[in-house]
Amino acid sequence: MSRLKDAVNGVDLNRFRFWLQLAFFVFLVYGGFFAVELGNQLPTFSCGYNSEGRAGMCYLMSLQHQLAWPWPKLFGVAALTVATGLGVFLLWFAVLNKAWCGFACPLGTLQDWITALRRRLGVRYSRYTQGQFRRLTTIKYLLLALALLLPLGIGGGMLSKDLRTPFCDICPARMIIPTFTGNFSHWTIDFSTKTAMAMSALGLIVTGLFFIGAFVKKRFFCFFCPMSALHYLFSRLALLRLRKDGAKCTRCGDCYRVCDMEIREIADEVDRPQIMMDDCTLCLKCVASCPEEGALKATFAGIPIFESTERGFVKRMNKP
Amino acid sequence: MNMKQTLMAAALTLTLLLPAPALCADQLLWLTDVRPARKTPATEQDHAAGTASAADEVDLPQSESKRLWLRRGDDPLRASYVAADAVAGEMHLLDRRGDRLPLVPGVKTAPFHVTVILEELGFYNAYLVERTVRFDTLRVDIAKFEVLKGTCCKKGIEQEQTRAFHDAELPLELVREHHPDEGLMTRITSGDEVVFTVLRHGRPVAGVPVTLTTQQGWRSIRESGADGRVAYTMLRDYFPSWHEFNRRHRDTFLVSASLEEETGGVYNDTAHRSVRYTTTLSGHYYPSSHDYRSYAWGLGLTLLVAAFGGTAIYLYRRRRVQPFKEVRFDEQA
Repeated sequence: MSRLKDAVNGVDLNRFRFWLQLAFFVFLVYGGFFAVELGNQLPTFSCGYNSEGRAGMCYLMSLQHQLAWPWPKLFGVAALTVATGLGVFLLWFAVLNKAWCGFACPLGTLQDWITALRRRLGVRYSRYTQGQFRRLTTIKYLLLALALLLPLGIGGGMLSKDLRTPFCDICPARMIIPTFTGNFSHWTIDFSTKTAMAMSALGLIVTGLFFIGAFVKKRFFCFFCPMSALHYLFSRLALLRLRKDGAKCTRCGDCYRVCDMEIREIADEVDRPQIMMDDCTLCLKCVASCPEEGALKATFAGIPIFESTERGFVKRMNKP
Repeated sequence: MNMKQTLMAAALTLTLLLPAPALCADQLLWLTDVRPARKTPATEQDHAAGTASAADEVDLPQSESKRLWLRRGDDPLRASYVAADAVAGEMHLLDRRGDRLPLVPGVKTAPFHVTVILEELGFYNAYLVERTVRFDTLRVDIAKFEVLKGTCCKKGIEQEQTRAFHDAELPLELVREHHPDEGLMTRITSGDEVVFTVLRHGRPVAGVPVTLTTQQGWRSIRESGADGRVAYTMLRDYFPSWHEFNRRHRDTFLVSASLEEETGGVYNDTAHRSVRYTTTLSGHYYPSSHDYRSYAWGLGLTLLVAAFGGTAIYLYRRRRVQPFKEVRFDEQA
């Protein structure tokens, strides 16, 4: 048991994560071709517009559709359907917590691949200042609020039905993920109505920014992702958690330097054991980069499954 | 009384003397799922909302039950709805397993209509067969409608559920060939090629004239080939202004085929010298996405944003590069 624990704690996390991300990507983008159907409540961007290949559907899409139901229906018997959908979403989410972002999300994986390309090309990456970070991190909550309120406005007869899935309209996954299965139909501007034209144009602008942003900034889009905001609202219910033992932390800052999301609290916070912040993708790079025994650890239902060790740190540092 | 007045008086007299069905004897009888409501043109509000006023005239694709109406006339736009008491034929529903279910029409006071209960997803065929003897000819009118219970959300639809099938007991039938990739929400759009097969007791029959009429009255007559097939390209006849354009706008097409045989006999104690079979099939078509979607604008905008953003970041980074400046410390000082 001790040897297994040492092997896990000494794992080459970057390599493990690369292969796991690739497996999730293939599974979620092409699983539908092998009759995989995980439902419509997945807590990750398994894009619904990838109609043939998807192994399941992103919950934000089905939630927006449901919230656009007419109010008498939504606040009547259909409320049970919405509640059931949320319950299934929470069951999925409870397993991996925000690791859905760090390991499973196809859009997150794509950003990591773009980052790898930048690194190979020798282009340096950008970082936000703390002031920029604080301002940008609130955008995802604003997008989440709009993604939920605009469909509600449709159900109340106040808004155009073309705003039924406002976030999906501007989400780059709508354009990018179906492309991997040969569906290029979303790389278009829809001129059928003014709303459709504005939203499809906005979606393509965001997609252009996605590629440029992801090239110079690690996990660029994750700062603005409303799914990340939705995750954080329920993260306390999840089984997989990130914990920090402040007494063992020397505040060397290694964890902050490797963090793709530039979460400063991971290095500075020494009082709270529950260290996971709203921007965290639970990629566990911070745990892998920490040289202090047990200072950072990932636990599942309270049981440590991966923790920082000096031996693991040295092994990873000495990797050729 | 001049010649014109004489002719008009004769026509009026003939109209009054002839029974009503005889007047429309040559008009096509066809089934539709469009309710007999007044169709209002799309408004600017419809355009803004992305909804179709016409779409509200039919039951939703996923509905458990759907209503069908009977219309008479060869113009999809103006054909009249047939009153319930003017229909002598019988209706039945055929599912893909070959099970036949008699369909009972609704109340007699309303226009003729039936309600079809659809238990499973997929296609069903509804038929009305009417036989009448007029002028020594037995007329067999077969009106057919493909009823679809569809969904956009279910995956793993079996090919069997989207297969086109026919009723081999019918003397004449039109079958629309389904596209190999046709799903449960597939729509025919302007520009699509639509292929029909003419079947005589379930076997393809060649040389039968087949007429396709679009919503606006455009008509094309072609003869079925050796394999009974006849193909049309669905033309575009929806040209509203941009403010009135609605991508969910649906129009109706009507396909008909007739075949006459010099076969005598007796039907309902009335002798006839020939039999004329007429079959109809109606469906819907929508604007093509090519009418309102643009790859050029979409890709152009994405590339423009990417190029502009990339250049801006490059220039911003260059501006922040500090020029090399050597600083020497004098350790002796």
